[in-house]
Amino acid sequence: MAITTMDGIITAFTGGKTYRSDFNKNFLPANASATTGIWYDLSVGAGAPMMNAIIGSTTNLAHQGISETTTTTAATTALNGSIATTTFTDTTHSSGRFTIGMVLTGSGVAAGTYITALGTGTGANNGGTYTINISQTVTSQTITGTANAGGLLHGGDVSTDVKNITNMSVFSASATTAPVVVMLYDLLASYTISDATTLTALTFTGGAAWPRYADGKGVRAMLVPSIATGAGASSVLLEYERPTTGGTDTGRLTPTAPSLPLLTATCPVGQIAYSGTGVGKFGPFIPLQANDPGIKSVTKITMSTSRTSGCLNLMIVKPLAFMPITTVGVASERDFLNQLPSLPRIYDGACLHMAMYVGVASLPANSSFIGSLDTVWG
Amino acid sequence: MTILNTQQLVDAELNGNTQFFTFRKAPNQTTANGIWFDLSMSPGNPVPNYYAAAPNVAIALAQSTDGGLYHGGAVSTDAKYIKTFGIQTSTATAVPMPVVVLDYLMYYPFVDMSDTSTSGAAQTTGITLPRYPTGVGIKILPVVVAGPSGAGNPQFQVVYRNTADVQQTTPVHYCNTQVVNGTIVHTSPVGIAGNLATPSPFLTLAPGDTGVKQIDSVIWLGTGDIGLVSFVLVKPLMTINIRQTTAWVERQCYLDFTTMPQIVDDAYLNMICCPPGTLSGALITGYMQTVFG
Repeated sequence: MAITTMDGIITAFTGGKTYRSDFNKNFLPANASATTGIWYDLSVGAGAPMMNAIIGSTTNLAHQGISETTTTTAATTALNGSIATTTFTDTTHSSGRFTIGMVLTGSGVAAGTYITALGTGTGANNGGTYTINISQTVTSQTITGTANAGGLLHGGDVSTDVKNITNMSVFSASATTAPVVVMLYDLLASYTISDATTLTALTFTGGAAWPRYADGKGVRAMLVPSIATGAGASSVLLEYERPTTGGTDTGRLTPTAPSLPLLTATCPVGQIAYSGTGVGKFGPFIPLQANDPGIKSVTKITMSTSRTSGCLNLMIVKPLAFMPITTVGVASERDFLNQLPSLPRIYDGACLHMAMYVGVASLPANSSFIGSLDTVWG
Repeated sequence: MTILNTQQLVDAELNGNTQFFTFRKAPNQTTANGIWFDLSMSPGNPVPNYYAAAPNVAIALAQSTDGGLYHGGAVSTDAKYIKTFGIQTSTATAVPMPVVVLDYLMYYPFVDMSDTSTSGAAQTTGITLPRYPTGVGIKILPVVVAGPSGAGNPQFQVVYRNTADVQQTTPVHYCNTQVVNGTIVHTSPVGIAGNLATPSPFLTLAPGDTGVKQIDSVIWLGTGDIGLVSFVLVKPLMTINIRQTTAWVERQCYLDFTTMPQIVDDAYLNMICCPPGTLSGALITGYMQTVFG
């Protein structure tokens, strides 16, 4: 069933089939001088709900379907983790990859402990260190990290009802934070690309249908670092399957004209790696072949140049709404019923995050973007 | 009974099932850009709320005992909604300014910021949530009631019970440097590097949590600070954004940004805001019309 009338909307609201989500996302700390014309993924930024710690936490090139309740884990081997003041040391690594935002647990580990920054740790290296938020002492324990997908809350699963966004608003009171454009998207899956040196095609593994939008219609892809990349401005070629058209739907390739997407060398965490101005710059999504309506699955990715370090992530997303913020302090508001009739649908399990196109010359790090999202279902 | 369609909405108003109320808040506090502020503590109409009660013991708020934005009496078995809301200010330092209307459910008074015991300042909750008993959508709002020093960005966590009655701990939050009463203590236009929690306006909860049923303790980290904070459990109802001094902002909750916010019987309603500058001497006026059926 779905809401089809104004009376249906009223019935749903007055019947309690509605949810208001208050959120705040901080602009990324590593981008102190955000450059105009670049897209940034706010899911890896601080705020409420807490950041998406899943990207970069999974096995290289493995498919990771994502819903709002998805978690991944990483762990030290038995008794090979320790904490001294605010430094967690992964003396001998066992499984998964430790990422910023991962909640740490173990005997003696203080409740609410999480990783706030990478030290020498890159996720899975023995002896790697990570900065945590609570000073404490923990000796020789098995320490486990749990990564949550984060995401704006939207009211939980409602099937067999259909959920829609009715309103959204967002503003910032921080100086020089406008104009920007905020994009709301549903994060469907991610692939960690920790291999920074292979120049032949890297094949994705564990292929499975997207948890939502399985037909791929409207689904797009973007590349975001979870560990800042080192030098090496590589082009990107993505091989994918498009939604079923009756023709040859597999083996679709990123178009080479006018140019393949060109990664920014030394790209900071959260910056969409090929966005910006100039040749080879696109945003926010990797271009598709003409008339392709989306991505049903991804097959391979090829880089033309190796990078000295860093970890990229291919994020599979479904864009839902765009919110332009024109002026600092002035809220951008969207009424998706009366103002821009569209009522974007939110599927059960949707993992909602935001990306931002920066139109101001220098957007300060950690700037706060505050807003709310109203949903209704029936 | 609830209003289910346009006809019933019209009939409710024709039958006189409506209440119209005006308000005026005249803050005397010196506020700063981007730091959320609790207008319930400001002079004007409705009368200010001071969160004055025995320290660390939860106490409920209700219209019948504490006032707030007047919305009419109890209507059960009918249901009451905000139909129209309008707000304006002629003070240049108060615009543009988002305002959030909240139902303030209960608060834990006078939590001492200098209590840095490892287990935290224990909170006594001898009551249940007076409204929204499941805790879904309930937020924590920490409000300064006796000014701290404002130095060093003190840090704190709150141990609470979520909607499943599981004890959880919030991420670490940092205090801002604004010291006036009514300041929402952890908010700021800019976060602090390495702090993954939110600067505004409600506390970040543990991952996956959708609400709060009670607070068990407040843990002040490091050396804490002087000052007292009241932790308020609130339910956000609607947001309205004042843009400029030359025009009212008015919202028909049925037609504009359709939400039909429901007001539970005896709800204590008031507002928080995020000013661009000082609210001292600002005059914020408005009205609210409710309808029930």
